[in-house]
Amino acid sequence: MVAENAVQDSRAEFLRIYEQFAPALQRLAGAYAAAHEDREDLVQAIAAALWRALPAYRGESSERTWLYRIAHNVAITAIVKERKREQREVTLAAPPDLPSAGPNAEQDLLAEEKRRMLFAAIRHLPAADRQITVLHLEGLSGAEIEAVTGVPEGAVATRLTRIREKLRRAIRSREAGDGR
Amino acid sequence: MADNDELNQLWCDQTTGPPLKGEYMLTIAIERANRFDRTIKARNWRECLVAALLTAIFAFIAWKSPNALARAGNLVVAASGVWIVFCILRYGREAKSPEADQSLLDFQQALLRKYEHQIRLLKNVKYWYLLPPYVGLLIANAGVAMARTAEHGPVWPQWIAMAIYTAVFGCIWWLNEGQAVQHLRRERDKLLRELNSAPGDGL
Repeated sequence: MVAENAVQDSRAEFLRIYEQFAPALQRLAGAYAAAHEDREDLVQAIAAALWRALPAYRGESSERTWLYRIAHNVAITAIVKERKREQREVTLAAPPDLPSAGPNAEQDLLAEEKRRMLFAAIRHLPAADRQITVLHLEGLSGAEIEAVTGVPEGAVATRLTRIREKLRRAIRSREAGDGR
Repeated sequence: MADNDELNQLWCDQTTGPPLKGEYMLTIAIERANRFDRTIKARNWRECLVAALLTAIFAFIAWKSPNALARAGNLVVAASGVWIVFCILRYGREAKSPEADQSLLDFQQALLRKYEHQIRLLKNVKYWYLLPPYVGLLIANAGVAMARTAEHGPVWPQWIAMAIYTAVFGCIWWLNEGQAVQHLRRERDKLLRELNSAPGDGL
C-alpha cells in the first residue's frame, strides 16, 4: 500500500514536472541533435532518466536546476555514444518549419532561417559552452547556471561574453555564405 | 545579428511541434527505465549461469579425469568460472554509469573515470578472464596427454585441442583488447574533444 502510494506520487510528480518543462526539454534537445527523430529520442531518454532519478530527489537544489542537470548529462552521454545518429544528422536534418502565408511570410522566413543558423551554431559549440548557452537562453541566472554546471558564476559571465561573440561571428559567416 | 535579446527571442520562438502528452511520455519513460534494468539483470544472470555451468561441467570432468594432473587442470578451469563472475560483479559495478543529477562538471569527470575504468578492465582481460581457464585447459590437456602416452595411445588430439583453445582464447582477447577497447577509446576521445574544444571550433 505504501509502495503503491509512492509510485502514484512519483507518477504525479513526473507528470507535473514534465508538463511544466516539456517545451524547454525540446529546445534543449534541439541544441544537441538536428534530426527530429533524434531530438524525440533524446527527450525520451531524458524523461526516462527523470523517472529513475525522481525517487532520490530530496529538494536540495531547485527543481529546475536539478532537471537541467539530468537533461544535459543525458544529452552529453548520448552524443558521445551515438555515432550512427551523428552521421545521420547530416542527411536527415529536420525540415524547417513552414512560414505562414500571411503578410509577414517573408519576415517569418527570415526569422526561421536565422533560428536555424542559431541552432546549428549552438550545436557546434564545445559541450560546456553549449550547456551554458542553453541555460542562459532558458533564462537561468548566473547562480543557477553555476548550480547546474559547477562552473563559477564569474566564469559563466566571462564565457557568455565570448560565446555570444562566437555565435555572432558564426551566424554572420553563415549569412554571408547563404548570400553568395 | 543579434544582440542578446534577439538571441533569446529566436531561442524561445522556435517551433518544435507539440510535445508528447504527459501520460504517454510517462509510459515511455517507465518502459525505457524498466528495459534498462531488465538488460542489466539479464546480463548478470547470464554471466552467473554460464559460470555455474562452466564450474559444474569442469568439476564433473575433473572427477572423471584419468590422473592428478588432468584433475588439477580441470579444477582450475572450474574455479575460473567462479573467479570470473566474482571479478565481473566486483569490478564491473565500479564502472556503472554516474548519477545523472550531478553537476555537469562532476558528471563529465565521472563519465571520463568510467571510461578509464572500463578500458583498464578490458585491457586486463587477458589476466583475469582468459589466463586462469586457459592455463587450466593446458594443464588438463597435458594430464590427458600423459595418460594417453602411458596407454600408448595417440597424443595428436591433445595438440589439436590446444590449438583450438589457443585460437578461441586469442580471438576473445583480440575482440576485447582490440575492438572493444578501441571503441571505448573513440567514445572517450570524443567526450574529451567535446569538453576541450578550442573556441571557434567547428563553425
